[in-house]
Amino acid sequence: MRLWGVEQQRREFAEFYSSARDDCLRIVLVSVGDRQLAEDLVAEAFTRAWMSWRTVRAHPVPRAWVVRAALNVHVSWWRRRRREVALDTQALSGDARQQSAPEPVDQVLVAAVRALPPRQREVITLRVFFDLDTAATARLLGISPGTVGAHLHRALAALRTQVPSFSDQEVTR
Amino acid sequence: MNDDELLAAMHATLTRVRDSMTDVHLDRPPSAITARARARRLRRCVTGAGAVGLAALAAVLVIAWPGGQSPARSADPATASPGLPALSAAPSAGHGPARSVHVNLDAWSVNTTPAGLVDVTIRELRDPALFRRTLAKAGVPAVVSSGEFCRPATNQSQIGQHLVHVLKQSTSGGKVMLTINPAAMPAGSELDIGILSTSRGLIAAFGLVQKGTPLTRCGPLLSRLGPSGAPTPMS
Repeated sequence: MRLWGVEQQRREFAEFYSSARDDCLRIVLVSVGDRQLAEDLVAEAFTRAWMSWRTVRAHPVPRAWVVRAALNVHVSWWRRRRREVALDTQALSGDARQQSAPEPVDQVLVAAVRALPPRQREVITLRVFFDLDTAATARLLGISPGTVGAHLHRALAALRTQVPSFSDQEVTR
Repeated sequence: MNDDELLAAMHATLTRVRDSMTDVHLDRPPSAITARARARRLRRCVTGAGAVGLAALAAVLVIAWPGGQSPARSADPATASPGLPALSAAPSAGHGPARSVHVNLDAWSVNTTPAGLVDVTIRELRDPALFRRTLAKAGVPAVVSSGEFCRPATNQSQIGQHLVHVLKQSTSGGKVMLTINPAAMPAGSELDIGILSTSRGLIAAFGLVQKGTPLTRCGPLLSRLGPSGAPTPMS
């Protein structure tokens, strides 16, 4: 019975990993901008996901858990190494650059997102890519909904100032 | 543009960027991820044991070698001690693996190889019965005891001398690694395994006995350590 349970969990994780790895990698790549770094972060995040598989498999959005873990690892590595990854606003990866050059507004927005402080970037990533509401984002990040709202507000304010097409129109809120 | 509209615009833009990366793939297989996690659990366990425990582990591993033969130091035939025959050259006596077995738990792993060998890694042993059943599925009849090592009352050196052909062991990072050749086990024999997990690391002892022989001479594995913690020969 125990063997079956372990093998079952291994199969479940393998299926989840196979279906989610590319999506998670692309989202993290949008956020960090370095292909190799993104691969390392996502691999590390999936490693942690497997080590906490009971928690992750019960999570309403396991992919969001992985992406959040990857971004947290990025912060940890950065703190440990005390060096920031250089922003590459021209492309997301060498291959992507060859295949499809983003529109200018895309480049500007991606660069602006990468320039956000880590927590604001996490909130934006979870809200934009996973459509998580404030409460779900707060639970995933382990912070209060009010803090999520503050991070989101500051992030959007920063993006408005850095992305011309977002600041062309009057802010209505 | 209010926050919701801004988020919607960002969603459209960033999703388009993400979807444009059709050539971005994570090529690492699932097994690489799970293996990495397994190694990390082991590393944490070893770190908890401490450097002193690691040093002691290498010294206290005890192996039963009939006739006082020296233990093998490597499970890898390519790096085996020169004085020991390779497992693949061992005599065949009809204990081939019953089936392909791949069981990888946090505590231990049993995996059959295409060559008919059985790779075993033991990190801890809390369920000897399950371990024994898994070995049996892999074609290795065994008696497994935890915390002690039991030998038959009568000397079985005639069977025991085959142990060198049946089993090779090595240690690394606090775990005991074995390569077992079931085909080299004499007909009617079974492996006698004793494992003890202590704060000083794993202690393991092995023997080869006639199947069904009562193992009445039991003793704690620690009693086999010399005063300095070095292994003493087992008769």
